[in-house]
Amino acid sequence: MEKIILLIFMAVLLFSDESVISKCNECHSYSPTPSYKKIHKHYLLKYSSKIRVKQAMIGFLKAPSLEKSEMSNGMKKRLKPENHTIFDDKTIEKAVIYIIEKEDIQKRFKKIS
Amino acid sequence: MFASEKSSLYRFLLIYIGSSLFLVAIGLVIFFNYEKHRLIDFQNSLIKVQSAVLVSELRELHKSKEHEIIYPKHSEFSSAIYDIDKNYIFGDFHPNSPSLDKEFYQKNNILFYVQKIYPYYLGTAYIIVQKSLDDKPIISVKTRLIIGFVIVIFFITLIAYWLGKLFLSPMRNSITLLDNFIKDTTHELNTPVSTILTNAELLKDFYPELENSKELGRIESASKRLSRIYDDLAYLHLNHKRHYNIEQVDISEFLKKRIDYFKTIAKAKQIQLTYNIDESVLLNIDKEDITRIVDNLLGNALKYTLPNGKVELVLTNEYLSIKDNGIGIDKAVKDEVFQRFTRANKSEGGFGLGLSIVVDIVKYYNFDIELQSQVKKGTKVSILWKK
Repeated sequence: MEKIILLIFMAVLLFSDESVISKCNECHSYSPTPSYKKIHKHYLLKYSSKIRVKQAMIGFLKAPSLEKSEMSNGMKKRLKPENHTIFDDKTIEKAVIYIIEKEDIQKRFKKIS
Repeated sequence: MFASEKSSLYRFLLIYIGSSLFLVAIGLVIFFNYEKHRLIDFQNSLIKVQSAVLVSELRELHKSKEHEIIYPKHSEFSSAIYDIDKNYIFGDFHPNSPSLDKEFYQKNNILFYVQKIYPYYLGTAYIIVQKSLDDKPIISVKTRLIIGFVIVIFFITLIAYWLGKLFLSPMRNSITLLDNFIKDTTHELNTPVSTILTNAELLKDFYPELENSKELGRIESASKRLSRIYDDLAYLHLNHKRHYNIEQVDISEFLKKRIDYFKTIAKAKQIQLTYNIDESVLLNIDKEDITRIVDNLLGNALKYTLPNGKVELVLTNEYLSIKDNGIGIDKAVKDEVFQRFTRANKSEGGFGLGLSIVVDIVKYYNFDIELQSQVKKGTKVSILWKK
């Protein structure tokens, strides 16, 4: 019984949205790495639409480089992004979708009644 | 005021007022459009300022660390934001098929302003701001222009009337002079012409041997011609003052009497005057008017037919026609012969009044007149009674 519960728990953990970015969180939960909100805002400022932001994020994560990075120069020097990907394509896409949906501007906007 | 003076004044007023108002109206329309665009441009510039305020608010919101973003609301205008792919992000209104490529546009009294922004704060690439057009200043301009236009109409009409009177005064003086001349001439002609005619007839009665006298015939013919001129002038002068006495007239009998009257003239010029008159052709007409028609048409036919020529008169229930084989009328002046003081041929004397009087009478009784003529072949004038 305990085994079954443990398996279900593992499966939920594995396929839940949060689990998608668990690997990312290993770094992004700690300072000075920027939060997802901040990263998303950086991309929004340059790419505007969801599709373009998604393409740019995936593009960077699949082949990270200093040139492609949207970080400020200071951050680039400090954090030095990897020059090779550390995730598979599927994970990257899921993680990016998760972040974009979570930080979706449309959902965050509210009207004053 | 004379009829001709009145019609000239009306025509002048129509042309002067019409053209002046047309020009003023064009000016006012141009001015109104200029003012309207100026007022709309002013309102557009206000929207532009409001849009700039919105951009700075979005910039601040972009910096905010709050997860929930309160969309900036303004009472004076509504706005909406779009991403670079023209997808609607958010707004306090959701326009249907907005035109994001034009900077300013207007739809049903609503002004729209589209601003492209970069960097894309919160993903915003386009801001569209809408504001209802405040048309009060435009209506105010329109009202003032309409009032101005009415005042202009009033003054233009006054000036036009004054100018018209001023310009027509020489014509009025000429007409008065001519009128007085005709009045005096007719008055002075009446007595001597009547005396000559009466005495010529008396001479024939007292001295039967003079019945065929050529000299007496010429005196009679010339005085009859003078008499007809007098009658035309008197008709012209008194026409607008006279009282119409319309009665049933036996035109057949009447014509026979007038032919007798003209026989002397025909004889003097050795013209063959023939006629074919249907019996009992009756018309409701003033005798003076039918006299003027017959005397003028027959008189002209005899006047413009050369000696040994032929004049033929036909009367039926439908028409009266007088045909001659005289000198005819040139095609170029055919339409002008019905105008007053116009003579197609100046070889003979006269004032050019006859046919214009005939046309006036024809119009008054709603008859029709037809003129067929060929130079050197003759003329045929027909009056269709159109009963």
